Amino acid sequence: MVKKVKSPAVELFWRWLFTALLLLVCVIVLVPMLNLLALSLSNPARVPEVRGLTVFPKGFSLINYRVLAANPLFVRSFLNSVFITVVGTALNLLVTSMAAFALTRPKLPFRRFFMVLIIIVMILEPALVTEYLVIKKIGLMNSLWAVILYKTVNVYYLIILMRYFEEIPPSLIDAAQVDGASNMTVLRKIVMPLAKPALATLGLFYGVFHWNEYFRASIYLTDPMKYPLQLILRQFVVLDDTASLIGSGTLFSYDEAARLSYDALQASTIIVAILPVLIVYPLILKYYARGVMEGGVKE
Amino acid sequence: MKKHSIVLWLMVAMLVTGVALAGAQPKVRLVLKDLDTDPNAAQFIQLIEKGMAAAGTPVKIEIVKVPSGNYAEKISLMIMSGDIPDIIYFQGGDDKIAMQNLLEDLRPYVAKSKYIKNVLDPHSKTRLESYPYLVWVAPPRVRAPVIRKDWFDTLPSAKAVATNPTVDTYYALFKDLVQKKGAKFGISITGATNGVEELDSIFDGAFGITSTWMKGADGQWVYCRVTPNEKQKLEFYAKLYKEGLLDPEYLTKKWDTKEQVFYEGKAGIIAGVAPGSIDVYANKMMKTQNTTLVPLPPPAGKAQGLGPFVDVIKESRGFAIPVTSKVKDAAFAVLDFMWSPAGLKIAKLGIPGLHYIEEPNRYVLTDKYAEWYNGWFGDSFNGFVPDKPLSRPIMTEAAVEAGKLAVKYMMPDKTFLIPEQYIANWDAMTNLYKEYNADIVTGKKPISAFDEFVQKWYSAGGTELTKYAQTKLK
Amino acid sequence: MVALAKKKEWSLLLLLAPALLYFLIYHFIPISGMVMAFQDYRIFGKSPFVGFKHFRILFASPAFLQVLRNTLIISFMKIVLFFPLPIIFALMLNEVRSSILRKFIQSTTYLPHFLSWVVIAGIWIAFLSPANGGLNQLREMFNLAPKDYMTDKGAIRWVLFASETWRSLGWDSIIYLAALASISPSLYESADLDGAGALQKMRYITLPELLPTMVTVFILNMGFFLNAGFDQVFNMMNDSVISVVDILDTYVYRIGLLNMQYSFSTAASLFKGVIGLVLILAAHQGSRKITGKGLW
Repeated sequence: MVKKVKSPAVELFWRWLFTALLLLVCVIVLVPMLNLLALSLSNPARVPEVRGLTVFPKGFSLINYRVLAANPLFVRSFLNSVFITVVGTALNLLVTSMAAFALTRPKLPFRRFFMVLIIIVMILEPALVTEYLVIKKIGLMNSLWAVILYKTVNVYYLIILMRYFEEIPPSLIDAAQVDGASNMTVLRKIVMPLAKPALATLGLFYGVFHWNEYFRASIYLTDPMKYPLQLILRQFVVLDDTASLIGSGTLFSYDEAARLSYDALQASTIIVAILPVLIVYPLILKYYARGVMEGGVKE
Repeated sequence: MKKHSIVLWLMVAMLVTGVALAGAQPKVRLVLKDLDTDPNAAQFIQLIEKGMAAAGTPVKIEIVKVPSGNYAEKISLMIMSGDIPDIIYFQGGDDKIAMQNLLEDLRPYVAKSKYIKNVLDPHSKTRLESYPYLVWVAPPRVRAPVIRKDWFDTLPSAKAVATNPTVDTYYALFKDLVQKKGAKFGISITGATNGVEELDSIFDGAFGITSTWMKGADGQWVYCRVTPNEKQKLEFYAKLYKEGLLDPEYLTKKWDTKEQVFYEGKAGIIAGVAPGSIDVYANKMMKTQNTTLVPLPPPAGKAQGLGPFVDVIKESRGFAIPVTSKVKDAAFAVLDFMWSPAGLKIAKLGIPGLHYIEEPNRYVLTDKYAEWYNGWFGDSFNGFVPDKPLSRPIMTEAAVEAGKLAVKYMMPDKTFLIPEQYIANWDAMTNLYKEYNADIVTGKKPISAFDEFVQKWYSAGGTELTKYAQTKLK
Repeated sequence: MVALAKKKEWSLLLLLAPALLYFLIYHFIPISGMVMAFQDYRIFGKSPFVGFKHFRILFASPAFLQVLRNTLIISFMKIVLFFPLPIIFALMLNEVRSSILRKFIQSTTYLPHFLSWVVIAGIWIAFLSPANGGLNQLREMFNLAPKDYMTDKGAIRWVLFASETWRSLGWDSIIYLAALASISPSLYESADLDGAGALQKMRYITLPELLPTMVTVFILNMGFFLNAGFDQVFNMMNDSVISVVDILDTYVYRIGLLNMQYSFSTAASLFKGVIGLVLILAAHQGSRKITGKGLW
């Protein structure tokens, strides 16, 4: 690990300067997020004391999270997001592995033709309007499936998985097939277990994608009770539309809730949206970035 | 060809309704802004269903949920998605859908109607004639500025505005509100949703802006937002902003936050649609500050009037029935019922036992009545003759006064529908205006930038549109 | 064995079928539908053929040209100006000796990559808020007047650039870290023996070794030049700055889905698609030529 270099003071200086700069980057990344966390956890009476660079809550209160947990629209959107993410990711992995397996078998008929199709998918993007009209025509409008199915197969991930499958010794597969196993069985019992790290990585990426998706949901879903969390977040935080969460009825009658200050509530919705990502983040680091990190340390 | 298909559709619709009536009641799906989140909606709909059954036209009504956000956009998306309700309340965006031939011509329905045709005001009839896709029963939508009464009574400058309204007396009043009453700023407006429209309602007239298209001295029609009058007006707005008399955060204000600063005494004046919104403001002000409101007349200058200009081409909001509906007659029956005496009683008085209490010889309006929105099916009170006297007037005095001002000072518009081939340009031109407007008012650009805007506006399609205007307007 | 391999296995098509069905619905049918760019699309009834009408209007429209200019400027900032930053980041990180520090820096800076643009926009809007945002608190410390970055036309593109950097700086450095890790230590050792200084090692060993990676990354990014990041712009734009940040994809959305000008919007999409196709093919060829590896 230690390079055989005499470390003159100059070199040491640079090294410390770099470290300091990199830590500064970390501060810039963390402070805005910690600030929102502090805001969301602060005692409502002391919220005005929380400034933009405050990273520790002033007092402590879970009131914002309680308000969110009691809000049917918010709870529902959270569950919708979980559903879309879980079902969507399972479907992604299944369909992508099936396709990758088929495409890596030399016995697949029209293999070259399919490869060309996949390249076309990669380089030609359909117009938003025409995609929209197709979804409408096949009756997926206002259905969670229109959102779940979007990007069922990410072509780049498909190609990564194909590369991975190609590494599996063909003899393993052939042996199983001689024993009379069907393609699906071979895929399930032999190929997928061997490709576990790759599948875990892709699963995490697909999962994060589904969790973060909001745009297709915003154009395909018309019933607010079907909205995913990110869309509620966009309404409430980005577009600053208080009525989206509080309800215009409450605002209209000018009740207690309408007199709240919303900054802290907005902050807590952001934190709730980040939380699941934080929970799987160690896994992401483990599967995807570990190799790179360790490789980097070894020099 | 078109007439034919309408007749055909009518026959099919009648057949379908006939069959449906023989079997079950027709189900009418209704989309109406904010109704889906109103706590009293279910009871409201139940009352309507009961009333319609009693009137011999039973229907089942389903409220369609709308995602929150820009209502016009969400409705466009909903309709395009193929999920088309039977009665659609529009608040903008309907013209583009009408261009796709998606909306029913409502004139035959109105002609056959029992009640609606009798409650339509002349301006509504004119609009229905030229744009037959929306029906709406409401007084002209004009905004009036209001100030809280306790402040009005103790400020000489407020009285000066009431007796001698000019741009200068208004300016003096804004200053006094901040200096003597501790308001943070003179006036707040819903800049996030409407730009400076609410300021325009008060000041357009005084600066000589009296309709969307105006005839210049040379006899040519010109778009009002590119005239020298507009420039002078924006210069005045920029002064208000710079001196802190206009809410410095107006660009992020929506209706709820605008009202909030008013009730909290941070804003001295706000403008709202008379009489409907003014009534709401007056009630809430009573609740929070225990004082009522005084509406103010618009300043006199090159002209005098309250905006927005009263459209003579089409309704800016209202109900439409899509051509795809299978229950068009039932859908229209709902609208017609709402303007029958029985329907009006529900719409205007609210839920019995909650918003009013029925006594043997009168209806007592409760404290909760202030929370009832009586404009769901239009703000008009035409045809509303309760069968028993009311314990108190429905509207606050302030609202009635504001309504009178609105009628007195409204400005009939001169405009036309933007034809389809100019819509993409119009989007760009509107954005251009919004942007320069915000920049000039907030001082990011000097007033001299206005000339640059005018030039850009013309080259972004304004030249063509202005040419087109000469052919459309007389 | 050879004969066996040649025999096609038709049942494999069953495995491919779900993916093909997906491509059909979300790609091929919509792509074929783009013919409506040459029609006046009507929801009901026939859509008449109008040839290049929409394209003519498109290219004559100053708004569209502005949108195109914005797209190119924003892409330039996010691809060309941003390009050296992850490299510098990786080079600096490579000099950090403590493995705990390294892990901390990496874990922290990779995180924003996994947040949605909705969340990032929320974070940044709060951070840049003129009323109480962190950046304006800093300005206050230096006695500067608060500034509303989100609605400032001069600042907003830099906000886009900064937030893109905030999100991608760490993540995009991974590929360079990997490349740095694969440089043989013996190269440095022999340089040390020759008495080379740090700068010389950088110039004659590190940079040449990184060059293929740099070229690949740069060329691949060029292929997506017309994208400019819809999700970011869509969530960070507002009426005050629309003229300087409105890009092709936001324009297509607004005109198409909100203003219901289907054919016109599709024409704009088609234009973008064709240019994008050329760019991607060029990137593919360029990458193959220089590094021997293409996009597929």
